[in-house]
Amino acid sequence: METQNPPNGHPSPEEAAAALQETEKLTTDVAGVKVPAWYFPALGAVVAPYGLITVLPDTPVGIGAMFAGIVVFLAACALIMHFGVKQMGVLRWLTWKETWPVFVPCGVLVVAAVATSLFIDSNWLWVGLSAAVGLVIAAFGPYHRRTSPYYKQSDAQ
Amino acid sequence: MTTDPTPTATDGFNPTIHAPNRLRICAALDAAGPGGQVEFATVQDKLGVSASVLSKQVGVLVDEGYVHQTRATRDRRQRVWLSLTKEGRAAYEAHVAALRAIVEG
Repeated sequence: METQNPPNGHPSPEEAAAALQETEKLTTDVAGVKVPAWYFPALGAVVAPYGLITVLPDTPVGIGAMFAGIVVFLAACALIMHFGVKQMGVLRWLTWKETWPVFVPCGVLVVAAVATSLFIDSNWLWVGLSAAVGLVIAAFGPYHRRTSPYYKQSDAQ
Repeated sequence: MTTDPTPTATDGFNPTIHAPNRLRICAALDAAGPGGQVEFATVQDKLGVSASVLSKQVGVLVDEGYVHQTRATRDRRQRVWLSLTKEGRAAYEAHVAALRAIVEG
């Protein structure tokens, strides 16, 4: 019966090898659950217009719209993550090895935008930045699904 | 005169984890990584066991402090998410190391 302890003593090498093989297969199976194809494009689509809050007028309506925009942005991100994880049935934080292709370009874009802002005083710079970052995030999705080592291992089984 | 025995790699062998379905549960949860979680239904699907069998085995692991359950009610359905605790991850990794040591002789 499963709830009783196994027989005294350790398993044989063959039994241990079989157990290890089973664990490796399961680990690969679970880690290989792919992020849904819509996930990163949806996230990118939410991020892209975020910069527009910087060009809203400094009026009560404009300030109200800015706060509303921030709330909508955060809620949309949370919903995307919620439904993505729900569809996967697995919450696995992606590794740096998997995510550097999105963080590094976005970091470069941010640095470039900040450097440019020293010479160009325009809020449209931030609109362009968020659009570019949104594009990078959206493009990361298909790239990630094609290249993640965890998905390749799972596909190979 | 007594001396402490030299620890060996197989000392991490854990009879609680070693039961076949419990080992597989730990393997599935380990795949989600630190801070990760796997839904009960997903673990059940990957293991190919009934909900009652899985629930019983998860219960044993929860009692040992190796697995944590998070319950969430969505759309009037209760969803259970499972994760390895810090102790559970350490115990599982030690057990896997013990199995490797047994294989390598």
